[in-house]
Amino acid sequence: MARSLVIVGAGPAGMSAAIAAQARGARVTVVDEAARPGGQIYRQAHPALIGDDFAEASERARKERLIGAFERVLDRIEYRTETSAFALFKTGELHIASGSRTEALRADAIILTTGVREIAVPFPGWTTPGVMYAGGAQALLKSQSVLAGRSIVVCGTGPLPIVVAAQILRAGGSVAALATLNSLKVAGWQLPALWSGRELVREGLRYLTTVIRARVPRLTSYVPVRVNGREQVESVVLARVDRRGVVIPRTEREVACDVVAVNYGFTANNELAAMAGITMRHDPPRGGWLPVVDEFGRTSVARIFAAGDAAGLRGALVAEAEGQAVGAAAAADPEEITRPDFRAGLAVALAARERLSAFQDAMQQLLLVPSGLWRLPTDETIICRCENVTLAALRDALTAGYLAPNTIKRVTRAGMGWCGGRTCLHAVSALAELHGAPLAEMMTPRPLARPIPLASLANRAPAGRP
Amino acid sequence: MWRDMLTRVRSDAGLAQGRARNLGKSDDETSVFFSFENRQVKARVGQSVAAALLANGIRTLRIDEAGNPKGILCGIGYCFECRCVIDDEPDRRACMVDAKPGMRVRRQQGLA
Repeated sequence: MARSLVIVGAGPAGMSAAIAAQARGARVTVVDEAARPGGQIYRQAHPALIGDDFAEASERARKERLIGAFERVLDRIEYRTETSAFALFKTGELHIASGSRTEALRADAIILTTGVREIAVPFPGWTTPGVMYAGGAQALLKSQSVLAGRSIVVCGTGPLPIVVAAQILRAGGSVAALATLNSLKVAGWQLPALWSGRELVREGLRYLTTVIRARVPRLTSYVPVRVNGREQVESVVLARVDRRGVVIPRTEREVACDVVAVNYGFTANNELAAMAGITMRHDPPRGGWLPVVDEFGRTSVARIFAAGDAAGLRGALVAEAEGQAVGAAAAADPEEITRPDFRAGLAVALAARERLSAFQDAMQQLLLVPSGLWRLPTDETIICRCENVTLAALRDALTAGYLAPNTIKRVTRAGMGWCGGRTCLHAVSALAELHGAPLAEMMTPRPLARPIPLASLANRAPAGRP
Repeated sequence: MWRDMLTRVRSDAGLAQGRARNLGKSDDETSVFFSFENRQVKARVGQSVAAALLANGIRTLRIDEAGNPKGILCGIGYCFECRCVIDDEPDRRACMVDAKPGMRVRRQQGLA
């Protein structure tokens, strides 16, 4: 009988794994929260909204090629859209919710391609309507055809703010300033790595050219330190920071805007992996706590695999190559993987992953967030937005010696709200480390990974094989 | 230069959504109407409630339990900051719900 396989996520890694596994005869089920495939990076608009795309042509071509290939296997796989995976157990039982129903799936193999989410360093006023993640502003543009505001300040670290600023401009929007923490120069000396990612470098330079031609004020080593406006953003104060991330006095500049789009990098969506008891490792530049995987995506728990950014932030091209290898491995008999000809059959995908990972390693220099930035929040700044936990409340707990994430959560309620800590956990851990928490620790992930109404849990299909 | 920019931007209501060059057009065939706080709002077919409200200049989607105004943060469904009351059901994520004709949306105040 053909092996059954469930893939969580329909981004580059998930789509590519589905195609590879289906080609090897596996019975594939893909579950994804969105209505259309693509994940976040290849997010697609509703068919009625498709207009101009503000991405580079080469980037659009990659997106169309992979989504096209995925669509061609749709009649041979099961693709469950608008479906959330909310629990995964060591036994390999995956729980999903769709509409008002829940269901448990069992399969011979499960691949987690849950991707990453954005993070930000909280600063005074960051809960004011108008402050949003830069990728969120980009998502509004690419899937909703809406500009986040009339006058947008884009800031943060890494390449994303540059891309978002350029796409806003190409859509006819106005960027009041582009403030980046790290200079592009830090990646500039790693020539072999840049060469291996030359297509992405070329795209990046085109985006930068768009920003320069539009005469957008560009500030390097500047970060948002404060937002003015009570009901909504009226202006943002940017200030220069030194190498340690500490604000340099008298460098503040106020810029009028109605949106502050900020991104300080990404953290892995690791809840399902951790919930299943998979051995995790801490790798901050690659997304924090990650499942330990071997070259074929096998985790410490039998039958559970991980691929793409959820197994370490390396971008869409690596995710696609890795999805091919992991999809093939999950579709194979466990013994088959150990044979030399199995690896030989995946040589192209494995080589592509290695080559493109080298480029992503070079880019990681751009994503570094120095510890001094964590001094941006003041006593009144809200760290956990769901439960309104301020820095003062958090610091009281830390000073009292509650340093482990689980304890901080119980004492302060940070991480106990609607988002399940997805917004604040990264900040809570970073602030705890500053207060001398011995080692980065993980908050114990508990079901549910998504809020599910009790009625949906009661409305439950019996466990079955897909 | 920075002071100039501040004044200029404050007085410039110019680049409103509709006038942005490349975002496509909406006509009656591709529009739906729903209500927000008893006010008629126009959305394009396929737009989320949050995106349509933003296009109409509405940013505050919720007043939280402590009285703080809240709007879109992540835009993709995981932060739960944009929870609205939609057709009398609280805690619906405005960024994840497509705008439908006749929908009644209001700001969530605290828990409901």
